[in-house]
Amino acid sequence: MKLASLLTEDSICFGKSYRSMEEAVRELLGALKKTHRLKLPLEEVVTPVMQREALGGTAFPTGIAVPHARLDNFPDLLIGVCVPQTPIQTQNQSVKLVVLMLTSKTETTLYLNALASFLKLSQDAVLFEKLIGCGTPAAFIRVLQDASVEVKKEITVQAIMSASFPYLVQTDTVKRAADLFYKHSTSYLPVLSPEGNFIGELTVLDLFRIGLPDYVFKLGNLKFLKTLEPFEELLRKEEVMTVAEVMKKPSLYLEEDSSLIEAVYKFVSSNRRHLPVVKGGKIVGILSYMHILHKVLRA
Amino acid sequence: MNLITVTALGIFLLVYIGISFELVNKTVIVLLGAMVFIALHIIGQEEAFRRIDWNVIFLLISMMVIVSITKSTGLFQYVAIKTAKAAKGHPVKILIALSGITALFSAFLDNVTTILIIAPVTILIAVELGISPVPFLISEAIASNIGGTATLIGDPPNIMIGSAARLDFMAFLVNLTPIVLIVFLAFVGIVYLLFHKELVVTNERRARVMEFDESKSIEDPVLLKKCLAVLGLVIIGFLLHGLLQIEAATVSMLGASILLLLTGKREVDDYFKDIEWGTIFFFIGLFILVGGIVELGVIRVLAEKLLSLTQGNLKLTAIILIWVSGVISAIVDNIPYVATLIPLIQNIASTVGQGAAVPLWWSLALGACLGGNGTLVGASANVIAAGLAGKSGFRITFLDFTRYGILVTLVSLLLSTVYVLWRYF
Repeated sequence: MKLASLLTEDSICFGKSYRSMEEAVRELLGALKKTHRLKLPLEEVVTPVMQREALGGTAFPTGIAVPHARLDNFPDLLIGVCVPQTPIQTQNQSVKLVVLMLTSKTETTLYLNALASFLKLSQDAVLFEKLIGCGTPAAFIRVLQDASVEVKKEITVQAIMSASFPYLVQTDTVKRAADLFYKHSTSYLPVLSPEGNFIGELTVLDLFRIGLPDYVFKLGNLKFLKTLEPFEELLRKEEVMTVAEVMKKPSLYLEEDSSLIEAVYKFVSSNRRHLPVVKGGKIVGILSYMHILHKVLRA
Repeated sequence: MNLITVTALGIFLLVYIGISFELVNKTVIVLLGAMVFIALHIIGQEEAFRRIDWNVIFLLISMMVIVSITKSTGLFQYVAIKTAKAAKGHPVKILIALSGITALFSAFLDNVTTILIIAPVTILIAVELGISPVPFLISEAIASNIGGTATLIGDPPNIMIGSAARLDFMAFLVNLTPIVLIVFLAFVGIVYLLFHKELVVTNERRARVMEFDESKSIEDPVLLKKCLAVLGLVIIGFLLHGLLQIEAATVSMLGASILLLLTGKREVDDYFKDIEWGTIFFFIGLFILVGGIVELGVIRVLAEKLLSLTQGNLKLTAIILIWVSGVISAIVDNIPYVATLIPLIQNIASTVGQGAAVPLWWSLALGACLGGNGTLVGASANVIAAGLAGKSGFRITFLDFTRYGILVTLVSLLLSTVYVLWRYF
């Protein structure tokens, strides 16, 4: 489906000034109500949109903001777009394009893919500038049509994974691994070969496990213990021990076109927090279950 | 010898080789052999099922349930830590004390279960003391085999012998426990001589062990009290079961049922998951296989041969039983061996009289149980101890174990021979 097909000229506004995001949202809601003859009272929609805004994370560094609400008994996806005369200043971003989306509480696929398409086009600086500079609703839709911006029919891992990530090599020390975990606030690091192939993975729990030999797991209860020699040993050895000694071979992975449900199933059944996304033996991204929470459940 | 007998013996031999060399999972091969016996009409299905000694099966199942529940309270860990602290962190004293506890637990629990409970705490203690856990684990495996010999329920061969010969718990206590105590003392002497110079620790390391707070190992004090009460009743039941004319399996199953009723909180199925069903079916298959061989009259012929060889001399038969059982058990699994020998001794008993044959049962028990210490593969407890050590980075090789094991086995078989001759002839 083309992204342009989801838009109507009447719900695209150009050239007005807004003092706040709420003002822009109210303007767009008015336009959507009129165009689609919505019977919902305005406040019943403004409230959830602004509540979601309060949680943050709907404005992006590229200059796009995507305020949205998921409504009860609302079996549709409505999109309103406005290009303010001067950028709206939010807490962290300067917003040049506001895309308001209203969708149902249960249907996520079309909404998330439309959202992903808007975010993707905002990353294309040339296209983005062309869109916000086109001046009229009709021109806006035409630019989108000409650029053939598509909305996928299903959600794939590629749309929600993180494509940039820290990684380790086999010769790195355990200390460097611990530092990297700490610096990036992550609990998962892939291990790459000099050629860039995905050859292993390491989690924070793997680091802890170095200090907990097999017999400790057979004890069942460690309440009687205050310290443990092997764990103290680990702290002493972290500068000489290498990642190669403690990493695990990759076992579970996703592919770029893996579906959302496959990813959710793998997270739940394996009890893992992160899954590598692999293509031709190389890692192209990492999906965390928090990505699903942020980008799907609370997107 | 007809074709059926030759076929049956061939299958029996194949199963034995399979078990001894661990070519296939022992439960699978025994069950397969048993079903082939039935399919080939070597033994009828009804007779095959009748041959299963349900007293052994239910005793094993119910003890596994009781141990599973009691284990979850942290009792065994508490006792092990308390013991190490009572030895004031002195390594040789700890080694001897933990071996003593292992032997005591093994007299009432399955040897493998005992090792699974004691070995992890032992490795921890040794690591904290800064010494190798290998001497500790070898000593405990040996102690578990010695302790298991002491009672009716300590080791599967004893359960089978007690059930087949109708010897009760008390009989085992009176006849086997004294010699087991002597063997254990000799073992302690050997351990002391071998290890007392090797095991030296610093005061700081010793203090680490003394810092363990054993009271925190008790996970569920309420359940612990219930377990202790039921365990006490079960032991009293074992002591009296001969007098009350109820089988040991009834006593333990009654105890297990009461304990299951008292635990309440968890699903009953959780405790049944801890039953080693592989072991249970191994026994079932074995009873059928040996039943088939007995049906064919092979055992009767062997018994007659043995008696004619020893010219009816029971003293000589007892000595042969101790040493042959000891040597065989050091090399192969003692359970199928004892299962085969039971009908043989029953045959001898029908010739010489039940009373006269009783020393032979004790000889079989002593040889089969104590022989397991001969090599690393002689008993499951040895293999499990070595496995646990290996996984924790401390390798116990066949020779590491055997050089201590063989010495202890020779001394214990010698002491057993003197004991049997002195006490019964």
